[in-house]
Amino acid sequence: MTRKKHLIIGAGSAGLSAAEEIRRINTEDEIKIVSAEDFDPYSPTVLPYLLSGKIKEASLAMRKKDYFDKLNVTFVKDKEVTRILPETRNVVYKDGERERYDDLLLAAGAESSWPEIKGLDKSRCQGFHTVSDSRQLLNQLHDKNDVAILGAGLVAIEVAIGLIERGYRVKLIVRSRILRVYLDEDADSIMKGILTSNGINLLYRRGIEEVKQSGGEVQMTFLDGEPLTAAVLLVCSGVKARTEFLSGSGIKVNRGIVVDRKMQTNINGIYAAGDIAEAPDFFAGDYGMNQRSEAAMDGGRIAGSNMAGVPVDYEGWISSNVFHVFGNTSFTAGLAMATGDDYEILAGKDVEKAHYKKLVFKDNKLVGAMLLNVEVDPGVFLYLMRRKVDVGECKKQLFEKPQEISRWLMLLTEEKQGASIQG
Amino acid sequence: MPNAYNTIKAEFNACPPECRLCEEACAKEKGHKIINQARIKPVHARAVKFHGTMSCVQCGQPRCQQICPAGAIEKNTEDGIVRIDEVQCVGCGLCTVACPYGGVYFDNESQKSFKCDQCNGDPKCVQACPYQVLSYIDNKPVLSFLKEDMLAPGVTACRGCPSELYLRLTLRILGKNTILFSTPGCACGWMHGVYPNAATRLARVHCLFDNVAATMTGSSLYYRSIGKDVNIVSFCGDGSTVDIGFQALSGAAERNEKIIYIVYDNEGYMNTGDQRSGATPYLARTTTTPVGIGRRGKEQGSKYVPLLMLFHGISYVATANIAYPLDFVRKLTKAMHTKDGMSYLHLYSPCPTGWGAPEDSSIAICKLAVETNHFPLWEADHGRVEINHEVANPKSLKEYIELMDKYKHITPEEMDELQKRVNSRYEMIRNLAQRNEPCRV
Repeated sequence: MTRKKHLIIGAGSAGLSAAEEIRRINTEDEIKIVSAEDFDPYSPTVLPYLLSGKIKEASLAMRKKDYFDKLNVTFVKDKEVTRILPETRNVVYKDGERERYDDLLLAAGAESSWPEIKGLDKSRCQGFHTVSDSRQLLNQLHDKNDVAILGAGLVAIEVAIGLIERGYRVKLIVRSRILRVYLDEDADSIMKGILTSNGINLLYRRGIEEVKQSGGEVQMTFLDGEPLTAAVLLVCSGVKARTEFLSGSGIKVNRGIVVDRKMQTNINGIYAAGDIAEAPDFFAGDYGMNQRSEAAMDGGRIAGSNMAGVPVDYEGWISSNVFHVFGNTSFTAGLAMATGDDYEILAGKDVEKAHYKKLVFKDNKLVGAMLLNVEVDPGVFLYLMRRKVDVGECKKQLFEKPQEISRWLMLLTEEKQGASIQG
Repeated sequence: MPNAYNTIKAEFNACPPECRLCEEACAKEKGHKIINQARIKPVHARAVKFHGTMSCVQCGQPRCQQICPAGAIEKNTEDGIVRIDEVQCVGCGLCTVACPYGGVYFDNESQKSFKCDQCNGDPKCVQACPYQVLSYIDNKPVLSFLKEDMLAPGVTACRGCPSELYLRLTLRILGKNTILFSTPGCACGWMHGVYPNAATRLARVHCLFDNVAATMTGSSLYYRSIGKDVNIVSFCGDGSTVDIGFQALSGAAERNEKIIYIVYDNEGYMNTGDQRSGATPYLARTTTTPVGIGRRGKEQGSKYVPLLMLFHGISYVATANIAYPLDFVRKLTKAMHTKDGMSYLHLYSPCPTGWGAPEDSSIAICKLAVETNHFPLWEADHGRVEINHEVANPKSLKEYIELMDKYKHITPEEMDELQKRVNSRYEMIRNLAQRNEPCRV
């Protein structure tokens, strides 16, 4: 049997999980992972904790020191791919070197996306997606106190929390709503209270017009609302797939690299997974970006299996997020924002206790959940969605007692499969 | 070879309402004042009358470990326990999203995730459970005496057929020192292999239906005469056991020959296309007991040979079922060590092809067969009968027959009759088990 060479670009969740899956199936093939960054594999998820001081840079690594040796995988860092030549199955590195592959996984992830604003460039302002970003930010903050964050998505808020915990003053510049993807208006109003009472200053401004730097301060003017100044401006207005190096390769890119159910691109033998890939979603098969660790891990595993010659189909991603903020817990999954006649929605809130509960059903299946300070096991809720567990008889009970009833439904489904998970 | 790990087993829906003893013991052991921080969760869903427990199942490929962005979760390959390094954990909570089985929890106070570590081999929850809902199963002894696999990979049995599991496990317990006897039947299609390949790596004797027990008798005598202790083992279907070969079997049993007679019972002649056998249950549809005008499936009940073997006075009789592999392994071991006479093992082996059941349902059917008392697990060691898996609240037979097509035609009245027969057979066995005296003939 000939040994295949699997080349993986990117050492994040998707790349590692693909390598693990290939090795699980095949002990002989050569696996090589190259990373453009000069760090051992880490996850951007932990970077905000670097700001808060909860972890140190030395312990950023996502895997143990002997991980690659044990897995028999070659890992090369600081090796950037600049071109791909599918015709000859070669990649070209920045240093001019070429390397041949039998199959290729594109898992290079995403990078901060910058809105086009006059005066906004990297010399004045700061993005936040890599270790270098967080290093640079910590340097900038050295003798300053006052940070403005442009954006109100997950990263923006996690960074804000990290900074608050370190004692910085934080202004969050919000265009419309905080965590717009994960919270509806009712949940948003509760979350706003939680953030402001913990010291995050929420400033609603539309249309940032210009950014200027003078006297060690950043000044911002807006189309609508008072101007603002801050010592440091951090841009957290989302990420985009890192696809520049693909130009001229013929690989189809939309918002991300478009992949089929096997996580394969339009070119045979080239796969993509993680933040870089645009894949079908679980419920409708609609194409979209899901830049969360879970989707990266699952997509990487599916790609790895197909690369190793065991065909598996990707079920699709489910948007999900669990979020711990100042002692509060927010969990959103699936089609939590769905509206319309196809969906049955149960919702209720208790503003004083900062509780919010919303469940979305379709055809007697749970398809969405938005829970604020409601104790549940997030994974069990996702289980009910993924396994399409029929909850027709007990929607109300699930809404009343989400934790007990979801656990019961999961245990019952496992039991019905014959092999009790506990046995 | 993969390791076998110890496991905490929880019976399904078997807790007393509102009991929290396991949770309290866990919280105490882990030094938590708040009971919520226990690593095992009683699940009392009153609205649906469910009372059970839930905890980490220590997965083989833990998703929590794979997703952890801080490298804080690791499955120890020695003891199989998945542990969280509290120092490394950043408290992002991704593991609670990744785990589908509710095995990882988040502590708002310390901002860390936590989970069960089986108290490093001495689980306090199990000790605290007086109702035997929780048990700690030591898997090491099982694997340590599993012998070399004598069955080829890639056997050609029908999809979903458990007979391969039965034979593979049988040979891994009995080992090389075994001669295998078979008769025509569906399993001989794969257990002999397809020319020019052999499917087993030991001596096999293929017999006729009606003389397998006699041939085994002769072989057993021969080996004893030359002073060799060899396992003389059959792997035959129910047709050759309860019908065609019964005369020879009955003779060998009466003489209490030193043989191990194993039958895999799929309740019919499946090799030739699902004809009824003496083991086919009452009302079951087969090609020779069809359902149509005036015909309602099999008109007679099934011949229950395990009890007939007991009444022949042989040394060891047992029923076994692959959904309870530990019980099966124990019984095989006992048969192997029964040196003073015959052992008879009756294995329940669903046939998805013939019964009209989904190919992935065999184990579920096996389990329900026990939980409904359709196929009770019992053994008789020198006449002393013991029920091995007493079911506290037997499930309705309806649940069982719904899993397959062969009972699809059954009316509620017929269902009641079937249930009565099942109950009656179980009562009989239970009465025997309650005797103080062993059954002698």
